[in-house]
Amino acid sequence: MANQNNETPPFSLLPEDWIAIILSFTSPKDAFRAAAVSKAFRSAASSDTLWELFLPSDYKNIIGRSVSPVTYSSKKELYLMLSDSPLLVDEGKLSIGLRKPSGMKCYMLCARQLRMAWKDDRRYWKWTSSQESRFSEVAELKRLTWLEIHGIMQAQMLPPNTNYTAYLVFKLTKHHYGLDCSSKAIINFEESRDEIGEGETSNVYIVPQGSSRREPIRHVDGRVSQNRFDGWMEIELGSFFVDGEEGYFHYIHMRLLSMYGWKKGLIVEGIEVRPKEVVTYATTSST
Amino acid sequence: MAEENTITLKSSDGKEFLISKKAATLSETIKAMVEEDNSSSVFPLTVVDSKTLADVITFLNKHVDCGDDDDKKKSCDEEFMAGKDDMKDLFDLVVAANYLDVKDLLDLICGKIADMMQGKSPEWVRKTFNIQNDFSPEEEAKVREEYAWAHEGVEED
Repeated sequence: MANQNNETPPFSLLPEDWIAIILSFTSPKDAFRAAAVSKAFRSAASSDTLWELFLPSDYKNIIGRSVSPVTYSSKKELYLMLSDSPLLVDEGKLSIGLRKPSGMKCYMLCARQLRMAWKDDRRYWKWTSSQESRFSEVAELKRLTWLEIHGIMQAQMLPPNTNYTAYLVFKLTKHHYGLDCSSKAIINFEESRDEIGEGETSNVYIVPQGSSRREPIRHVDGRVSQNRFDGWMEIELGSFFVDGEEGYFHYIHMRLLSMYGWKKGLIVEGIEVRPKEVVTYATTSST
Repeated sequence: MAEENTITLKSSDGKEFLISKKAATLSETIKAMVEEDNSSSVFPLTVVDSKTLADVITFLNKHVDCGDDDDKKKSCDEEFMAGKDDMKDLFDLVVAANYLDVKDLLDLICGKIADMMQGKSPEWVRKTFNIQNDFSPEEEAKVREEYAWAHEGVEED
C-alpha cells in the first residue's frame, strides 16, 4: 500500500467487516445515517448482526408477550417496528417500545392498571376508547376535587444500573378546568406494593398556572407538561435509579396528587417509564 | 535463560523486536505461527511496518501486565489511545490488528473510530476515511430520505 504520509489512507481497502465492527460501537442513529456513506456502509448498516446488538437483549421475550403476533423480515425492520409503534404486551396492560435514536426501552402502564381515586365511579371518571391511544381504554376525568393517580412497577421489570424518569401521559379535553393548580409528583421506592412512606416530592403543573385565569401568572416553582411526538402530552413525575442489587426486588410507586378545587377534562393514557437519555455528543454546529 | 520465553518479530522494513512469548501469543496469528514452528525464534511479519509493530507490541505488553484486571486494562487502553488521532496511524493499526488477529486491539481502534463518527455527516465520514461515494445521486437521495430524521442535528465537516 503506497501511501503518501500525509494523505488519508483509503479505508475502503480494509476487509469489509471493519465497517460492521465500527458501526457496532456507534448508536442506532449513527448507523441509520452511515447508510448514506457508500454501498458497503449501507449493506453493513442493515445487517442482522448489527441490529441484533441494537435490539434489547430480551427482545425475543418481549415479542413472545405481544398481544398480536409479530412478523418481521429482518432485525432492522423489527427495530423500526418497535420504535415506530410500541408493542402491546401482557394482555394489553403494558406497552414496550424503543427510543429510535438509542434503542432504549420505554414502558407504559395503561390507565386501567393505575390506582386512581374513584376510578370505578362513573360519576367521576369515564372510561372510553381513543383512536389516538395505543391502549384499548383511556380514563377521562369528569369532575373531581381529589385527583390521585398512582402507578406501581416492579424494579426488576427494568434493566438495572440505569436512571429512569417517569411521566404521566395525558391529553386535555376542550373544556378542561382547574388543572392549573399546583400538584404533587411523588416517587417512592418501597419493599411493598401497598405500604408507602414519604417519597421524593416535587411540584408540577398539569396546565401552566394561570392559564384559566384572566391574568396569566408565570409558574416558577414547578415543572410543566411537554408535548410528545405522538400527539399526547406528558408531565414528569420524577426520576429514580434502579440498581442491580437490593433495590431490584422493590416496587416503584409513581404518584400525582392534586387536592384543591374542582378539576375536569384530564384524559389519562398511562404512566411511562423510560431511561434518561444520555446525550452522547453535543450538537454545536455553529462554526 | 529467558530465551525460551521470548521471540523476535521482524517488521516489513526489517527491524527486529524482542517480545515475550506470552505477550506475542495474544495475537492469534503469531500463536499459530509459533505452534507450527517451535524451533524458530524469529518471525517475519510482512505487512506490518516497524512504527506500527512497535505500537502493537506496546499494547500487547500492557495487556499482559494488566492480567485479568479489567479496570486496569481500561486505563491502560486509554493511555495507549491518547493522542492517536492521525488517520494513517489508525488505519495502519486496524490493518495490523486485523492481520495479527488481536481482537482487543481491533475493538479498541474501531471503538475510537466509532467515537469520531458520532454525530458526523456522511460527507465527513467519506472525507475522513477517504471513501468513494459509489451511489448514484438518486440512490443517495433515497437512502437519505428514508432516514431523514437521523441526519438532523448533525455536524457538517
